[in-house]
Amino acid sequence: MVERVGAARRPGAVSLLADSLQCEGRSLLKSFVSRAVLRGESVRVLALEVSPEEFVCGLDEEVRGRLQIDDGFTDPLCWGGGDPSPLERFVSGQLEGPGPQLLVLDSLSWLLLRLGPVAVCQRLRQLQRGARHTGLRVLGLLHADLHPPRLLEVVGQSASALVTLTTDPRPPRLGHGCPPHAVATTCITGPSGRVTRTVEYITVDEGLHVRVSGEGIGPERGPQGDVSSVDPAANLTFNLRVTAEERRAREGLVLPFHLPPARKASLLQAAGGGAGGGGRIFYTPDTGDDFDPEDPDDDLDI
Amino acid sequence: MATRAGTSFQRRARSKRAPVPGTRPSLHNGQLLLSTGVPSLDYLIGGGLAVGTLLLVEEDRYESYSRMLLKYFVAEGIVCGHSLLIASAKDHPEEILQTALTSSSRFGHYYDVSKTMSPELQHSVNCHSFFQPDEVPLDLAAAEFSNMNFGYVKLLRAIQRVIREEGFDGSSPQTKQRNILRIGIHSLGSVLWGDDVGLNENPESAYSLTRFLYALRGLLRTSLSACMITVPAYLIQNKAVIGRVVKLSDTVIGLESFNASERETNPIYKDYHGLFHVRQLPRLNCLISDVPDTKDLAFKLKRKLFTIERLHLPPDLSDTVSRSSKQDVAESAKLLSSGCGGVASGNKHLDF
Repeated sequence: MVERVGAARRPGAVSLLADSLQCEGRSLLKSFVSRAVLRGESVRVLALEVSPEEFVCGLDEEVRGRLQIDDGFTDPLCWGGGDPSPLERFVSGQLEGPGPQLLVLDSLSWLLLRLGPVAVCQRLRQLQRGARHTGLRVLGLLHADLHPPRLLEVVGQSASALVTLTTDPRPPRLGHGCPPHAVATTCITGPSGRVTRTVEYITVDEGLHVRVSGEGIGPERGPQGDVSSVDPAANLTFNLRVTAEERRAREGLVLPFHLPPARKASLLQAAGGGAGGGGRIFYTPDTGDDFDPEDPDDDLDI
Repeated sequence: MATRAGTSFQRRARSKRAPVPGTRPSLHNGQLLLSTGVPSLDYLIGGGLAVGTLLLVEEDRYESYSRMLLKYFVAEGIVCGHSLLIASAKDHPEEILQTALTSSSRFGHYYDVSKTMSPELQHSVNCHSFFQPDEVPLDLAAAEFSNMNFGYVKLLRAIQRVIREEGFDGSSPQTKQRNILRIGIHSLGSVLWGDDVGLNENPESAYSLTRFLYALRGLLRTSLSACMITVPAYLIQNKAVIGRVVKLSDTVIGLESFNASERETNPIYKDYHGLFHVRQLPRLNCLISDVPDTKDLAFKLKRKLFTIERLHLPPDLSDTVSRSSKQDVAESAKLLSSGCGGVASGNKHLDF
């Protein structure tokens, strides 16, 4: 999904990358820029937060040669005279050149803080409307820490794609040697109004290539939902499981009031075969006793 | 011959005035109602939108469906032959007019979402437009003029001018048939109108929007017009402002779409595109309003129809019956409802 944002070709598409202090987005911005230049588009960068030299470091020679950078960093208010200030240039429209272009704003936060959200949103909307004739696309970097979340939502909704970068909540895997991941939440608003939202792990490496790694995790199980679970079975005063010897011993145990067949047979044998020993009963019938030796008790079955 | 004797019981002459096209009197309170273009919405708000009132639509995120409601409103106006005034800050009103939905009467009248109306039909109506970036220069967008946002002031003046010039308020006698003015305002209160009420908790011009609505309702009540406004209410954090906005409108409905939210995966909501809330209904010249019998409403946009219906939940069975999935339960409920003689094939069915 992040690839789609970088490869967007629709005229009038406004793509925004929102980063934060923990997770920077300028490397992703540079990777999109270099990819656009290598595709053959004319790219114009308005460098407001970092100097042009710092912006191009990390980019290839070929890309550097074909990139057009407007310096708004060294003299933002034009005290040195001469060129119009970057604010005026953004507002009044001296940025568009002939032919389809990609306009890169580094950063949109700088403009939002100075011009105000109303002017910036209206100007972006104006650029989108004019893009039907000029074919202009806009790519901007936004710092989420600098603005209230409501403002981010409003600006994000006026854009056609918003990629929010947050830190990877998983603990870093030592020994792999790969740079840290970031979690990218991409919201793309299609022309029909359909919104698609995906969450992925991305990495931008030294050569400014974006690697989308890991499965796309669902929006419900986002980074905020990953709480380290405490094992409730630890530190108990009783056993939850039985080992093999304990189980065997338990099965071999004879219960006190349970009469197993072996014991029953031995008792009976002792009773039946112990005529010469064991307990015997001698009975002397009384006078009133009805003793009939030919009439055994046949309702007793032993 | 002498026809009428001088009796005091004389039939009053019928009014020569023909009824206004596209309207009908309400069954409840005799108000003149017009259709919003969506039949289920008309049913929920008491038969239709009363002439002289304001319908406020609280938008959903990403504005997918509230714009569709505005298009239905415009299409209905074109079909009925009403005059239109479309105001917007985002898209040019001409675009909204050109993408109006086509009307088809094959199986009953409906508006086809996939096609647009023919240009002849579009141009047959009298359409005025107000496009905020054309009227208000960029540097004055957030400025205030007489305690109201400059864009709102200009919009009010434009509406007032149209009403007065076309004679909707009865000031100039209309020789031809009286007509209704339908006003549609798109996304009022958003940042593109220059209003920062949606941006922070205590905006500087907190009451621009409420003053606009107050003045607008005064204009509507004294003319033959009806207005539909969409407002991004989810952005307005200040409860005082949103409460006043609701109170200053007549009918207020809210859309909450499942677009790109977690609810999209919930199986209960899989048949619908979003939830529908009726926030306020007006009491026009009567003591009570016609309230819908349920508050659990959901909407769905199909190609032929925008339906708003009661949110159906599968029946909740007792613990004695073995737990089956909601699919089976729904199916068994269908079998039950089809009659006692229905034969159940395959799936578990309930036996009484």
